[in-house]
Amino acid sequence: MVKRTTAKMKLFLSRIISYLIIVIAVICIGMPFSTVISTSFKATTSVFAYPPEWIPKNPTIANYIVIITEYLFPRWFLNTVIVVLVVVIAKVFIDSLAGFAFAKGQFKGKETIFNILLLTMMIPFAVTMIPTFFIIREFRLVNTYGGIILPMLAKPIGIFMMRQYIVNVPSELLDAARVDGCSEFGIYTRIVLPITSPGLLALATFIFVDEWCNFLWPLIVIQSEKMKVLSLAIPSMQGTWMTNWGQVSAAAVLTIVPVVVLFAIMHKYFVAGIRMGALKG
Amino acid sequence: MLGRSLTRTFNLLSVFVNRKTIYYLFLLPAIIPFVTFVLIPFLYTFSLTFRTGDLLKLGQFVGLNNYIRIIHDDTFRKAVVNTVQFVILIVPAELLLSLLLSLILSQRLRFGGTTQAILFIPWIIPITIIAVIWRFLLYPQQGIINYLIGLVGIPPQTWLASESLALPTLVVIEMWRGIGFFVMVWYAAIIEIPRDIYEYAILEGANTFQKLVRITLPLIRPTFIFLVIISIIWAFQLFDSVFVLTHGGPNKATFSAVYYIYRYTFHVGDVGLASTMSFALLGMVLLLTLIIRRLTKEQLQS
Repeated sequence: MVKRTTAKMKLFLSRIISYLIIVIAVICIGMPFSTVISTSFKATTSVFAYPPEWIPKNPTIANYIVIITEYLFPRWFLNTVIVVLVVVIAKVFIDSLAGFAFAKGQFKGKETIFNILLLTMMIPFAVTMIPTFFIIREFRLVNTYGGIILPMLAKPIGIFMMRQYIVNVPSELLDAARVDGCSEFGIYTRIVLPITSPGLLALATFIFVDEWCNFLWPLIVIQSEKMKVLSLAIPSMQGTWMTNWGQVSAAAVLTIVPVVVLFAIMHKYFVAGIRMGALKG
Repeated sequence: MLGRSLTRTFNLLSVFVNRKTIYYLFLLPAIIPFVTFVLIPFLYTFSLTFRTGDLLKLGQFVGLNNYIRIIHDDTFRKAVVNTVQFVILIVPAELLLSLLLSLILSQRLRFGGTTQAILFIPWIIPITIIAVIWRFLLYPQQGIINYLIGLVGIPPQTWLASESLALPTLVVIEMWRGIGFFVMVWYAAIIEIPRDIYEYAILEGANTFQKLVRITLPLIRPTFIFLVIISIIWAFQLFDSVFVLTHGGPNKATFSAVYYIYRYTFHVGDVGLASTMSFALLGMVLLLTLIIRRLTKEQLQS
């Protein structure tokens, strides 16, 4: 009897400690966000009030209005959406088609090509960055959407993710379709794509996040204000001497919200995608 | 529309090619950008390590001169030391902390899913936003972090502007940014372990610690190896937070390897040295990955 109560006490105690650690972790991660959200609703005078105003006393949306009307923010937002959408759609198509070929195709050099792709995953982007810039400049694509987008189509990671997914599609199903006279591309569009749609969604989310956050390459290839994407835009809003923290925070919130909303919706697929990529990769 | 015309094109093409060769066509959309933007640039960078010149005009072939020059370059040495320091600081700390958190979360606590999602948010926002947030928090005079440490009596610090604190501060920021990803991967592995193994262990009288050391840790070994390798690769590529937060300073205290490549390409205008650095970086990453592979394989056999 006594033993059982101490065991219960122990369990209770360990639960309390667990929750405590989790709460601390969530506060550490969340506090910076709550600060930036609260700052975005503050007038300049109360940004650095002492002690800090955790919740703005006189909230204002003036910062948001300035951001949207006085900067190129809407344009930057549009640029980002265009670039991200094109990359996501193109990559999902490219990676699933190649993943299908690697998973179900039998052709000469399959292993070799696959291994070359796998090996080059180790190459940091910094290594290929300089010639990539030369090539883009040669194509006269500096400062264009094409210039931002094209090199991003080369990352092979999605191919591995898709191959993992498509390997599990039963081959009998594909053979049955072949007997019925379906072409290989028809098999891809009518069987492989519908069956692997959770995998496609995971991949799409993965690429969306990756591209929304992409910074190094746009920094190199985009030089005009008009063509900037959101990840580049914020630094150009910060003055050398004076930063209007309220406005910058408002821009930050506007940049974060779309991707967080998307993540909240796609969370399940995304986790499944990471699980798939991490456990088998 | 696009889908239909694509189908038609592929169908037309498949009249000329048989079922086996059509797979080469399927690979083509992946291979063309790969060759153009990975393979050719990779080989080109290698050739650049033997040349001089800047972005606008490449110079002549100089043999191994760049390799000799870079060894004597103080900034190169500083960048390598800083990068290695960063790797050593962040990799164990991040792996351990995220393992602890995911072990706690795997007890199926309430709000576990929400917690994981919150921890993951810093991972999905651009570094420039992270920079805004942290520069604000770390603001030297009236920043919130200085306010908070002031409450426990620590004098205000200059953080990213301090030569001794800049790199550790970057480590903390990068940990804040990456922890959610690591938790998610650990958690996925821990959850996969069949429950009955634990139940059997409890019947045998195993306590919590024994369950952890004898069951959980050995079974998530592949994940451990994966995370070690990937965190090392990422840590070696430290760049964007340096670029937006410190510009390599103060006094080169946060000058990283990739920052060196960027700086020497676009500001110093020495593409040869920058390329040589990028191969040095690749060499370090490959070497470490090989060592880890070897070590973990030997452990498996013994």
